[in-house]
Amino acid sequence: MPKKDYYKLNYKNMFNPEKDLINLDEHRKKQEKETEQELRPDDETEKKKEVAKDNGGKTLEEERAEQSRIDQKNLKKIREKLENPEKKKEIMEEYGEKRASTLKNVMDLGVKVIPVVGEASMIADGIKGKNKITGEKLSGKERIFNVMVGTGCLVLDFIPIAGEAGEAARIAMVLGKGARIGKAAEKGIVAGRSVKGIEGLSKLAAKSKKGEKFSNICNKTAAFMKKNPGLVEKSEKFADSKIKEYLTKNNPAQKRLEELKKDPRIGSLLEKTGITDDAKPFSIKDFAKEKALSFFKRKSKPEMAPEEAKEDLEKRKVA
Amino acid sequence: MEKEEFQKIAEKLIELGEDADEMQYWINIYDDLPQQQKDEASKTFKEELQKLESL
Repeated sequence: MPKKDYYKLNYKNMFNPEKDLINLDEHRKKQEKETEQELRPDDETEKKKEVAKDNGGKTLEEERAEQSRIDQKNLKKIREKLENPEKKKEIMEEYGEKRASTLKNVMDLGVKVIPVVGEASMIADGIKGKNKITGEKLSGKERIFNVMVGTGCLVLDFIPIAGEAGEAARIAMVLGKGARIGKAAEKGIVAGRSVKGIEGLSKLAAKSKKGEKFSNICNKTAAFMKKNPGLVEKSEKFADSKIKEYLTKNNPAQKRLEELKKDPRIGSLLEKTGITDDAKPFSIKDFAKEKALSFFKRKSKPEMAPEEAKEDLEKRKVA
Repeated sequence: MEKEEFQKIAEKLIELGEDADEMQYWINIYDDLPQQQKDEASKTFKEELQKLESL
């Protein structure tokens, strides 16, 4: 009953305690009902709930709760990302290494296509671990350059020696071009030459149909290397240190000497020349120089007196 | 894996912080790689993406 009517009714009938108190109770109940209705969500909200129920059987409230849970999860992930960049770095390093290993396989397969270049695995461990010079961890890019510089330097040194490969080429590098090691000590064997090596490899590979794709890879990699001269230089320094280390440990001249010592005839000869002294580093170059000097000393005439020498010169002039 | 798919993964990796230069290099040489190495590279890229996304 509306409020106005109620008061009218009460006014008309004057105060009747029993009736009016009952009316008052009824009025209160009505008021409570009205407030309840006001508080209750309207029909549209009910409808929305029904619609939401149709969508995957969830109410809006449930959806909201789920959304907030997802938001919390995402926030947690973002926080972890911000708080844990080290883990991200670790993952990137791990996969950088894997990528470099894939490239190394490509290079190994590629150089097999070219008959002259027999091996390209000397700098293989450049893929792994830290840079031995700087102690820094390697990025994926640096690892790629290490592989390429390793391949490039071998190509540079071995291609001109057609028909010879591996150890023979290294011996030629140390003995045949003796000055090279000295230069390497100053400038490095690969320094500034790896890109050229890769370009040379590309040209060689392009000659055969099999090597066409490999040639493309080399060309693209050489372009990539040119874009990053600083990092390539770093890799070249690393490669040079590795080559020097290798040659010191596996000095072919020293190896040859060990073999010669085992031969009784040559061994005794070597003893006479004093070359067997292990404490003194053996150099085939010095040995050859010494032998050549002694040979020419023996062939040359004994020294003449100044007067005799003058006569000899005049005689030769007349002749 | 097709090159386009490979490229998409590489782009996602760049978004997650991988070196853009290196990723572009891999996209460039992808077609020239031997099949076995193609598969290897695709697998590596996918795995890395999964790991980085799960962080």
